[in-house]
Formats: sequence, structure tokens, C-alpha cells
Amino acid sequence: MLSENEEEYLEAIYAIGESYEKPGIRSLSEVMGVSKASVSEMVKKLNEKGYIRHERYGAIVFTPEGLDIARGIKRKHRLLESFLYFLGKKEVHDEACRLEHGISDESADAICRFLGSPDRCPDDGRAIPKCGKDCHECLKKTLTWVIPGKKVRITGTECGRKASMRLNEMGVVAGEVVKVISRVPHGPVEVEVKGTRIAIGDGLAKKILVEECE
Amino acid sequence: MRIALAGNANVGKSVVFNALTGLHQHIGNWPGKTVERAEGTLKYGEQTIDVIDLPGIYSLSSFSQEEEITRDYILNEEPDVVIDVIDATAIERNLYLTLQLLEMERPLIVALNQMDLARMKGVDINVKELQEMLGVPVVPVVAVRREGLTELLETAMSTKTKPPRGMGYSEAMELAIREVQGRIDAEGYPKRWLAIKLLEGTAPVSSDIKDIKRELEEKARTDAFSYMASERYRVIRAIVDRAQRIVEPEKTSSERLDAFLTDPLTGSLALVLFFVGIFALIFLFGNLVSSALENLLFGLFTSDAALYSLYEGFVAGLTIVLPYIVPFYLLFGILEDTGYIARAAFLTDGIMHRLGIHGKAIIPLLLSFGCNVPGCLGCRIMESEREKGISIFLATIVPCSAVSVVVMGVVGKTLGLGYALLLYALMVLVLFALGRLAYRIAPGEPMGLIMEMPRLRKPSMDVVAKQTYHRTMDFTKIAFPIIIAGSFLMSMLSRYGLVKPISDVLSPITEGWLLLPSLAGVVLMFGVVRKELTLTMLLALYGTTSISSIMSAPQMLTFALVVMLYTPCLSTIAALLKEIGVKRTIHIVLFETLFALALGGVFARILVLL
Ligand SMILES: Nc1nc2c(ncn2[C@@H]2O[C@H](COP(=O)(O)OP(=O)(O)O)[C@@H](O)[C@H]2O)c(=O)[nH]1
Repeated sequence: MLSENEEEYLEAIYAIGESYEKPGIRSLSEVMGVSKASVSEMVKKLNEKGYIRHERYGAIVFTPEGLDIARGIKRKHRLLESFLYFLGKKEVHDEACRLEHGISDESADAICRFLGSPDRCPDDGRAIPKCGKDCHECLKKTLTWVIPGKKVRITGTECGRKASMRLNEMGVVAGEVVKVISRVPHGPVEVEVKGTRIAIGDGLAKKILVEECE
Repeated sequence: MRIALAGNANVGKSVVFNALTGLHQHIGNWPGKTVERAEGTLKYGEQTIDVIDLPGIYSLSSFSQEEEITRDYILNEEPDVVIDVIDATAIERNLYLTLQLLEMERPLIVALNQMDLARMKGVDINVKELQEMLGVPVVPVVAVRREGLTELLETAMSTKTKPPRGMGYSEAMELAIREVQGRIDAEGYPKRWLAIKLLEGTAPVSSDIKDIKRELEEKARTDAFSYMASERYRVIRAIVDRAQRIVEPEKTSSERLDAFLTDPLTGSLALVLFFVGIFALIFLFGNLVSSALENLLFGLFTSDAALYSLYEGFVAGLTIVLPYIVPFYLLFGILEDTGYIARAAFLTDGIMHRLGIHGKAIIPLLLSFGCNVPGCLGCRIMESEREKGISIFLATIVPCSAVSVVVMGVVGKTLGLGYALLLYALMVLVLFALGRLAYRIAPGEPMGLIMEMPRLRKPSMDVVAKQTYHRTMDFTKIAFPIIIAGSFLMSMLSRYGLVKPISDVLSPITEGWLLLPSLAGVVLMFGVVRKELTLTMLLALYGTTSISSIMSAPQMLTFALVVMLYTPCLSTIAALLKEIGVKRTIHIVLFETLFALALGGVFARILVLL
């Protein structure tokens, strides 16, 4: 486990690299606002832990593990900034800095999905690192995503032939507007369709694609 | 004259059936199937009319036994009239089946049931318009109040010769249907119907229509089946738009109760309370009545005559049916009719999936703790054969109240409650493990839950009472002969001094493998008649009242475990025979016996090592 401070350093190294400069003791000390002595100490520590390498001529480069972690934290930081921005906050940087160490990967991914997988930060336009999974897959809205009480339009099903036929017959056809009535966590979803209510198991509901409608 | 009733589940078909036929009913199974078949007769003037209640289905694509039965009956048995009972509060979904029935070209009448509820919900249906658009007679009915039934019958009598015409679909679809029709030989089946089925892919496709199908799918940019479904719903939409008006938005008093019952938190709480209540009721009532009956009936007279064992068997049967089966059917029927079962299944589906089955199976499994018989019979609510097979198998493993008596008497009393609970924990593990195993090896494809959530409503005691009566009689007919024959056989064994020889034959298993006292073998054999006999007989054979003088602590545990796991009792076997047939019953009995012996032996050795 890395401490928050260590994470901040990795993040700073990443940010310096992003602006096409060579991260070194001096630039780090400027960015972090601490003495070169304490920067050196931290760099040594991170070097020993195998996240970065401090080259002889002074440049700091990431090891693959270090780069992964730094990207991940930057991703969380910028997603949080975007999210706070979306919520109407103006000063988002400092708050994002604090939240980024506490948020889980899953929640960050959920925010990413919620925002429609944004590419860039809204405040400074910097790139938000991707998680590496297929965004298209991730952005698909399925029945399990719908908040109870909301209406959605069915756009298709990706389940097996039999199940999809059965759903068709019960009125779950592409283009149909259905209302989600309730849902059990990790359990079925109850929807209202064609004047009747049906329960659809979790596994199937995850394969029913929907889009929002007014 | 023969009338067939068809329709979705929960539309009130049974009520219509009961109202038409009264007490002149026969309930059985469809030959070779495990689906209930209800047939009845009524007198209309001079004429006797046969009425058959086809199973409740949502479509005729033949995925399920129920759909196959309905299709085959209508096509092959050719009833004079088919009455399609539909729910006036949800005609849009109900008409899907109606359109399919129209295509089968049998004389059809639509019974528009639950008109009272539709009116209450502000659904206003223009019957004339609906009739015109469908091209078949539509009769509004309130089955629970017997309104419209005479008219329904009269209409049935007069329309018997006029076959209906199907609905027209989109140009592309009609073109494809015509092309297919031109190529096939329907062998006496309605040609248009067969053509549509071939296109949908719900009848085996002969290769020479593949090109038509492909062309249609290209035009529709989706597979033919969902295109057909969309087309049907498009036509229905047009009908509904003209024939139905929603006067006022639904007002909903049961809505709040429904929300309460399906909420993960409050609903689960209600579910637990419900079933603890029902369990306690059946258990307490059952035990009370069953021992009272036993005392009463065995107290009447005793005898050594061989025939006395027949009487014993009869009493044994009675002490199962009256105290357990009847209350079970009654409570179960009530739950079924209120629509609560769907709610329970909705809540537990997530958890039950870990056991390899749907949420619906929670009900039979819980009931099995009281008695395996209602548990097994309750498995008929599972919609596919596969699900039913798995849940019935698991239901027979759940320790029933008689087994609990043995576990408590052997282990709980002498070694303490903790050890008894340990055995139960072991059983839960076994249940999960076997559930997983069954999920793997059961034939058929697992399919996620798709279940209608019927409206919550007051149960109709008329329907429940009739159902309880018929189901009980049905069970009695199968179970009594088996139980009586079983007791007779067992008493013959002891009468002719075969107990000792049998023990000797079984001793390699009981003594050698299970490390139990030698007489345990006979006791386990008699336990097949009724599980609690294992305890009472054991004590009687050794002439003592203290288990600890017969067995050591490890032996008690092994013995209790084997009793918990081994073969279902005779009554349960009877229920199995009725529900899943001879072959699979034998499989279950053999598997469970061998499994109990295997696990028991291993268990005994582990205990010795400890
Ligand atoms: N209000 C009202 N309820 C009805 C009517 N017909 C049936 N029901 C109720 O609908 C429920 C389901 O009926 P049932 O015959 O068991 O449905 P099935 O599954 O189609 O056989 C029962 O509780 C009936 O009391 C009706 O005309 N009006």
C-alpha cells in the first residue's frame, strides 16, 4: 500500500511528464512546494519500492507498476473533478485531491459511466486516462441500471434465443417503453409492460439494452 | 360437443371452468406429462358439453410442455370451439395469444373476463369494436359473479362452424408468408399457421424456405421471430387504440401493499414472518392432529392378525393426508390465488440462483421442512421441466419434521442441541453442494427468471376449496396404496422372522461400513415407511428407552446423518411418482440412498479419528 503522500508524488511526476518536461528533483520540489531534500528522500523511497527509477543524470522515470498507479490516481482525480464540476462546484481541484485517495476503482468506473466516459477534464482540458476496458461495452445501458419509477425504451436484447423469444412474447420488444417498478439488489427487476407486470431475473436484465426516454 | 378453454395464467380460467362445470370435474395429468389436466361436463338443454381447461400460457411457440399440450390439443383433438379467456385489464398482452389462436383456424370465442376490475381501473373497452377488429365473437364476462356465462355458452353453441381469419401483418411479412405457403405441404394443418411458424423458426425449418426467411430478416433488419412479435404487437396496438379507452388513471389501494411486499427490506421481513408462521402452523397443527388421530384410531382396537397391518397402513396414510397435506394445499392455494407466491419468488430469486434454481423454488423448499410431500407437490409451480427436476430433488433432501424428531431424539437429547444444529448446518452445505451439482448435470438449458407478477387480490375461496379437494383426492389415490402395501410388507417381514436374517445380510453395510449396531439395518428399512419409525423401532428392538445404551456418540451422529439423507419416505416417493414419473423417481431414491451410505461411512470414520 502507498501512503497518500506517496500517491501525490507519483501523480505529480505523471503531471510533469504530461507537459513534456523531464521530471527531476527540482521540478518536483517546485510542483509539490517542498524542499529538495525531502523530495530526494521520497524519490529514494519510491525508487526502493520499485515504482520509479532515478536515473544517474537526474531524470525520474516510471517503472510499469508505477505508471499504472500514477495513471489510475490521475484518472480518479480528473473524473472526480469532472463529477464535481457536473454538480455545479467551481473550485474542484483541492476537493478532488482529497477524494481521489479514498475512492474505489469500481466507484470511479461508475462515475466514468455516469458521465458517459469523458475524454477530458472540463476545467483545464487535460486528458482523463482510460481504464483500459471497452468503453462501448461499458456505456451500454441495461435494465439493471434504471432507477425504479423511471420509464425507458427497450432497444434490444443480448440474451439467448429462447429467453429473448420469451421476452418478446411477454411484450418486451425493441421500441417498447417500459416502466421499472422495483428491483432487489442482485435480484430481479420488476417492470410494467403492456399493462402487466413481469419480473426479470438479474442475469437476463443485464442483457436487456435500454435508452432513456421522456 | 367439446369446448376448450385457453388463455394466459391468472386470467380467471379456472373460475370460468368451475362456474361452467360445477362439481362434474375430473382432475388428472396430461398423458405422459406432468401438467394438471382438468376436464368437466355440463348439461345445456338436452346436450352434454365437455369442457377442457387447457394450461395457462402466454404464447404458442412451444417452448414448454404447457404450450405443446395446448397446441396439440387444439390441432389434433379439434375441439368444436375454443374459448380464449382474456383479462380485460390487460388486453394488450393477452391478445398476443389470441392472435396466435386465430391463426390455428379453429372456431374461437373471446371471453373478456374481469370486466368488473377493468371498470374499476378505468379501462373502458368497446366490445363491439373489439369484436369487429378480431373477427370473432367477444363476450364480456365477470366469472366470479357468473355474469355473462350463459351468453358465452349460447355464443359457443352457435359459432361452432365458423373458422376465423387471421390478422394481416406488414407487406414484407405477408409476402414472405405467401411465398412459404406456396412451397409447403401442411398435411392437414392450417397452412398460414404453419407458414408463420416456419418463418418464426418455432417449427423445424425445412431448408427450402431459408432464402425467404433470410430475405425477410434483411428487410426487417432483425431476426424473424422478434419481427413477428413486433408485428403482432403492432397489430394489437392498432386494435387496442380503437377498442380501449383509459378513462381515469388506475387508482391503487393494493399498490402500496405490493410495494411493501416487494421492497427488499420490508418484503423480506414479511416473507420470513409469513413462512415461519405457515411452517409453525403446519408443523404444530400437523403434529397435534396426527398424534391425536393415531391415538384415536390405534386405540380403537389392536390385533395380531396379518390384516391388521393393512389397517395400520391406512391409518399411517390418514395421519399424513389429514394433518399435513390438506392444510398445505389449503394454505398453498390461498397464497397462489392472492398472487403472493410471485412476490416471494421475486425477493429470493437472487439468493436461490446460488442454489442453481429460480426464486420460485423457495416455497417448496421451505415447505419441505414441514413435510417433503407438499414440498415435492409444490414444485409444480416451477415453469420448466429442468427447474422442476432440480427443485424436487432438493426438496426431497430437506429434513422434514419426522426426520427432525429422529435427530432431536437421537442426538439432541443425549449429546445436546449444539450437535443437532451441527448436523443441520452440514445438511445446508450438502443442499448447496447437491444444488450446484444438479445445476450442472440436469438436462435442458438454464434460463433466467421471466415471471408475470399477477395483481395482488383477495383469494377466491371457491377456487381454493375446489383445488384443495381435487389435489388431495389425487394424492390420496396414489399414496394410499403404496403406504398400505409398504406397511403390509414390513409387517410380513417381522411376522415371518425375517428381521434377523435381513440384519445379517445388511451387516456388512451397517456394521462394516457405517460402524453402526447390526439392527440399524432393519430399522433403516422400516424407516422408509415413515421416518420416525427408525427411532421408535430401534428403541423397541433393543427393549430400552435410552439411546445411549444402544449407540456410542459417534454412532448416534452417523445414524442421524444417514436418516436425514437416505431415501425419501414412501409418501414422498408416491408424490415423486406422481410428479416426475417412475424413472426419475428411481434415480433419486438410488442416488440419495447411495449418497447417504457413502457420506455416512466417511463421516463415521472421521468421527472415529477425532
Ligand atoms: N374481480 C374479478 N376477479 C376474477 C374474475 N375472474 C377471476 N378472478 C380472480 O382471478 C384470480 C385468478 O383466477 P384463476 O381462475 O385462478 O386464474 P387462472 O390462472 O386463469 O386459472 C382468482 O383470484 C379469481 O378470483 C372476475 O371476473 N372478476
